[in-house]
Amino acid sequence: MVPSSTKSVVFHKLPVGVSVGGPCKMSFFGFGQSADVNIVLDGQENRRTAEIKTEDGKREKYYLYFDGETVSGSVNIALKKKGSKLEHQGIKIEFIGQIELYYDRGNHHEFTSLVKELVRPGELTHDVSLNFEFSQVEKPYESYTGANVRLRYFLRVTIVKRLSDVVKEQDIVVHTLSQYPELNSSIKMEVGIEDCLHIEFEYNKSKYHLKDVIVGKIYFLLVRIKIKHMELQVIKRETTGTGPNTFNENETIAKYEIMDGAPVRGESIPIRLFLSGYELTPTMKDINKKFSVRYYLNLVLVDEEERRYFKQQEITIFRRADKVRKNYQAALSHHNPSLLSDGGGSGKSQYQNTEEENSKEKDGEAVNNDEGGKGVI
Amino acid sequence: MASRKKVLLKVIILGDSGVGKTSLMNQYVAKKFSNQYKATIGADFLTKEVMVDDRLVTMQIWDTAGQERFQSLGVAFYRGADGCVLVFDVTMPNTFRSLDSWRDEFLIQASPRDPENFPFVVIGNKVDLENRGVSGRRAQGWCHTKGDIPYFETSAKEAINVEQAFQAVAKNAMAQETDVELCSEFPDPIKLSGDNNKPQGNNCPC
Amino acid sequence: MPTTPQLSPQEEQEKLLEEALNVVKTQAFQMKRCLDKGRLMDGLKHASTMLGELRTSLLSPKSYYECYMAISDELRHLEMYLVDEFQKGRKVADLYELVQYAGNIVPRLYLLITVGTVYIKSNELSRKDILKDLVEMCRGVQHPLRGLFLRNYLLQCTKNVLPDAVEDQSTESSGGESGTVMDSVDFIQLNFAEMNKLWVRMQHQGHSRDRERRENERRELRILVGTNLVRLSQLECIDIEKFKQSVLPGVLEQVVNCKDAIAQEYLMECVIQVFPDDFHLQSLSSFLRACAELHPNVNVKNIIIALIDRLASFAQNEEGSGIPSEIQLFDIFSQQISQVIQNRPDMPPEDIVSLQVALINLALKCYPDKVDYVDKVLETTEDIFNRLNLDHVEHGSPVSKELMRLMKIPVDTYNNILTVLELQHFGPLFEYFDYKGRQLMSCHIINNALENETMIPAQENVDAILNIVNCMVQDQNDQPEEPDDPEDFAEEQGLMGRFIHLLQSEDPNQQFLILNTARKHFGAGGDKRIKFTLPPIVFAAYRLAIRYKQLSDEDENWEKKCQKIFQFCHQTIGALIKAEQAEIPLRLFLQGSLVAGQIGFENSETVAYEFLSQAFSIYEDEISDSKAQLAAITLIIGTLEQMSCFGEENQQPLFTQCALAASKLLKKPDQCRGVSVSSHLFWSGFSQATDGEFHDGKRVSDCLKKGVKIANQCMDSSVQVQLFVEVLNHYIFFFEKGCEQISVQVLNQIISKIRELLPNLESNEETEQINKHFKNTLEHLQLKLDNAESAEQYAGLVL
Repeated sequence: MVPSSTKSVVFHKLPVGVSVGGPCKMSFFGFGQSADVNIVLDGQENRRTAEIKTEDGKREKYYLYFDGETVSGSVNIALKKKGSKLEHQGIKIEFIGQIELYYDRGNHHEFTSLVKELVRPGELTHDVSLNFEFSQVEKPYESYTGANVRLRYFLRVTIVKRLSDVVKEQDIVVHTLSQYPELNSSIKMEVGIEDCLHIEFEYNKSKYHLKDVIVGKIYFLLVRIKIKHMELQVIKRETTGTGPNTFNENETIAKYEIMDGAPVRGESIPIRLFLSGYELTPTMKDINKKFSVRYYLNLVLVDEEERRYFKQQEITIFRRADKVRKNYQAALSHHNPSLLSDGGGSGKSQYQNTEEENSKEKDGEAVNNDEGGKGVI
Repeated sequence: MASRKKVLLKVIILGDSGVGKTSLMNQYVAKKFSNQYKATIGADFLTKEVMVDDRLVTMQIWDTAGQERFQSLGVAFYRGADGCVLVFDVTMPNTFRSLDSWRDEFLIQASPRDPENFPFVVIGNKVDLENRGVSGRRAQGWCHTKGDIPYFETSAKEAINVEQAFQAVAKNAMAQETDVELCSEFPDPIKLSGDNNKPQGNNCPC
Repeated sequence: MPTTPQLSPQEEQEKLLEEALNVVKTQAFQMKRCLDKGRLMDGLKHASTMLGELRTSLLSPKSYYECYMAISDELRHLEMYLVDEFQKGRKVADLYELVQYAGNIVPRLYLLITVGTVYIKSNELSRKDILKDLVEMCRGVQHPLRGLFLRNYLLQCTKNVLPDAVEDQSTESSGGESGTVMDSVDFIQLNFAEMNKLWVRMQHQGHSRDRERRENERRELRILVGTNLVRLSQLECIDIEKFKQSVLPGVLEQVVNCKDAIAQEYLMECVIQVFPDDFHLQSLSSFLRACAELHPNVNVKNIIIALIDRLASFAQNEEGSGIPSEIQLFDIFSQQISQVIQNRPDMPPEDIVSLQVALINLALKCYPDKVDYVDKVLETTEDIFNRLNLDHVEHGSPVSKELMRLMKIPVDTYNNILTVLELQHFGPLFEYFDYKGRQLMSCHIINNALENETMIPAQENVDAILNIVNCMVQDQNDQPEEPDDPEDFAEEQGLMGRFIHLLQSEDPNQQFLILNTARKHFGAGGDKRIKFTLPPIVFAAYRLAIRYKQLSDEDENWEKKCQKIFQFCHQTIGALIKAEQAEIPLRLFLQGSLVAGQIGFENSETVAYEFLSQAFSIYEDEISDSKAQLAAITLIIGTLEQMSCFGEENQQPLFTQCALAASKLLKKPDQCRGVSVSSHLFWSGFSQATDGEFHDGKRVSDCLKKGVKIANQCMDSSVQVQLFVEVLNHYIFFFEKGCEQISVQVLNQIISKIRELLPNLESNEETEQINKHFKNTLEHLQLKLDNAESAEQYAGLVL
């Protein structure tokens, strides 16, 4: 009965204990000296990690960095054949931020690329440990793995050789933090289909942080259809490309039933949706002119003939800097917008409340009616 | 499973309207009595934790409406009862005569596994009143014919014998419970071990 | 695929329910197993799957209830587990949030309620906030059936945790505000309003052809809504003041405003049932005002009657303190009921009367001494009938039945007709019945008087009662053409006859007035009635005469009064004669004669003579059948034999007349018997001369000889022998009394005569009888012979 997508979210805890470290690109040739390269980040035993999906959908954990944070550490090179020397044309480390569009393989757009030379060309006769530091690196975007695009940061160590370089990459995860927005007005709207359905809805904010709670209310002004149920969906839209080559990928992140049965005029239905259980990323707009990730709240009403009526509203999702939060306050929070009825008392008073109300964002905007049940969802 | 620390016992109180079912429950659970009469409509329960033979038991005591019209959805709550308290008013012989039909109705609707030995307790309430209409002997006699049901004469008002009566039903229900747990109502297990891989249905010894 | 037989809706339900219960059972098992192993998240997952069964739209209310019960039983285990864990300090962080991720609202809210209850019990967070949150969040379920059950679950779970204190009792340890009883009231009222909305909404959803089924289903579900009121009534901190100020107005507003008949009827009754009597007493007016505003389809009378019945039994309850004197219970009800009636012009008259029935019950139970309250009800009823232009209440109609119920109540409660008579409006209201109704009611009244042996001690009372039960006394304008079944009629009039014996005053003068009044009424009853009713009056009059005699010391006019009574009786008996009655007047005269003789007032001999001679006249003029004549003359002879008041000059003609009349009977056997009986006059009749019995053996012997002679003339041999045996017995009687004219020889002669005739008789049953009679007679004689004391007297007797 519980949709499988939420089932796992609700009741399964994330697995703990991860191994950190990316694949090491090794030499294809078996002859000559070879070396194991290992990157150790400073303070990594105390550094937080964060999970991110790989291209093939697996989850990996990497060390977490924020914008402007120095990335430093050491590169350890261990020679595989003791007593034999390794000739090289230089050893360097790069810090790279790049966007990969899956349909444009091999054409990676690097938006950040910093290089540090660790060793001038010469020979390595024994294992070495080389320190590096990229101080106060700008990391303008958040790491992201989507349906058609990936944004990743990684460190790459290259031992330049004549025939084939020894290359070692190590991914890190970057989170972009936002301050709580100063202006965070609620979303209020009256929508309807003439003589059929008029509702007024309100979400308490337009910008939500990742662990936020969406609180709101739906107020029924006119109901002439037999509604079966109503749900609130969180839809993620990933846009890649430009102009005629724009691709949109929609994913329903959350499908949350908020009403069962048919309300009558004057009824107001509470909304409370906890976001922290869902896999969300911050909203990303026009990232390096390559892609955007936007989020929408989709209010869907389904009638007895399975016709769906919906209204989408974009919301902004952000990652909040401060983490402490009194959980129970959120758990009990209710939306009591001034515009809408408080829901208490007799039908009469409810009705009066709506009559007095007159400051809506938009009047009578039509709800999309998608008879075939196809389309947006 | 028998080791589960806490046991939940469901006990149903039945009897005609006005015999004092609610008062008995309130006296037992909350040690309270009120002369005010409030008719019970529907069914409602209170819980009380008691020790029965060194085991902590949560008794869920269901108070019911004596008047059928207040039971508009039927008596589905009889299902799964572990014990039943039949109550009459010692000053009202007609409430005593009704015990037969209360008992029968209960056994039909609750359909317990072993109706013959289902843990009933009979309570003759309101012994504090003077105008007695049903003698102890008569009530004992009835209890005897129904398989020696324990009989208690109580006063919910003066807290006479109430504790004992409920303790008895808890004790008897527990006795049944431990019997039952062995052949519990769990779905048939599908055993995968090699020595028992014949199809379950063909195992009939006859 | 095998074709499955079409299932009936019933079977379909059973199948669906069984499937659902199986899922519940399996999931519950899994849930408990996970809990046992401490795997809460998995346990919750199974609980959620189990709760998914409550998302169905296929089950009927009763089946859904079964499913709900099974599930809520299982959720108790979850709750118990969580409370335990919390108590042991093993809190599950954010559990309240966690369960809110369930994608479907029904399972989510059941879990939320369960966890919310655990939080409250474990003093997590604020009790007040949680309760508020739960009742708000339940708005999400707008489906009536599912919403009603969900909110019922909320009520069930929160039962023991609702704040019930006047002041907030929060402490540091409790998570926040624990709230006051008023928070509980708000909580329940809100839940109640929402549930009622859902319940009422059911009425308007679905096809109109399913209306009946829908209404039945609604009635089944009512208990869920009513539970809100039960919860309110269970809050101990609600005193009368809070009830009046906060609880009742909210409930009534909701009930009245929902404008739904089914809801109103049920909820109003619920209010009556679940709140205690003293609350009702203090809030009567507002409750009754609400009654007046209910939907026209609401059977408001049932509601008011339920309330009245409840308060009336409270007033009688020995435990109860009774009705406080400052509450004018009767007046309040009386006014509000008339308001209700006014508001409902379409109310059927029987319902109006039913309300009056309730009102009269109230008056009688709460104010047993206040006859005027009862009378007020009757007056109101009469007014209503007038207003409705209802002057003829047809028997068998609902209104007639109700009116009958109404009017029987004072009769059966007072068990005293005299008290009923104090009701000024009883008689007038009685007149609204049709003939049959009046008849039944009259019987009821008279029977009541008889059962309670209510003595009617005054003329006015008699007048009043007989006016009320007039249809049993006199012919009626509206009586049916067809006369009643004779047996029923006799029975009914027999009642009246018995009733007359209840007309008794201590004071003889009053008694005389009573009898006069009674005769006035009953005298007009017509021929077929008076034979039942006048004789008891005559007998009552004779008794009165005897009483005057007993009181002769106190009342110097007693003799005149006696004379007057006999005149009264004479007239009364005369009326019976006019009604072509003979047997009864004859007996009444004879009785009168006896009484007059016994009393012995001035002129009593003349009266006695007159009465006897009247009897003779009836005998001669009115009785023609020979058997009846014999019986009559036997009675006259018997009477005369008992009387001692006559002087020689009156007695002898009477004696002679008797003997003569006997000998003049038409048929020989009658003659024989008459003559034989008359012999007794001359033996045991009273002689003024000797102040004792006559003992005129000669005339005795003459009579018997004449009897023998007549017997001899009898043609039917069987009858003849029988007569001889009878005469023999007369002979033996006098022989034993010592009558000298009768000797052993005379006896021998008759015995041998009988012996001679007996064998000739045809053998049949009759002969057998005669034989037996004769044998018994001989055995008697044999005994006398065998007895030493009497043997000598009987010497020579040949048996």
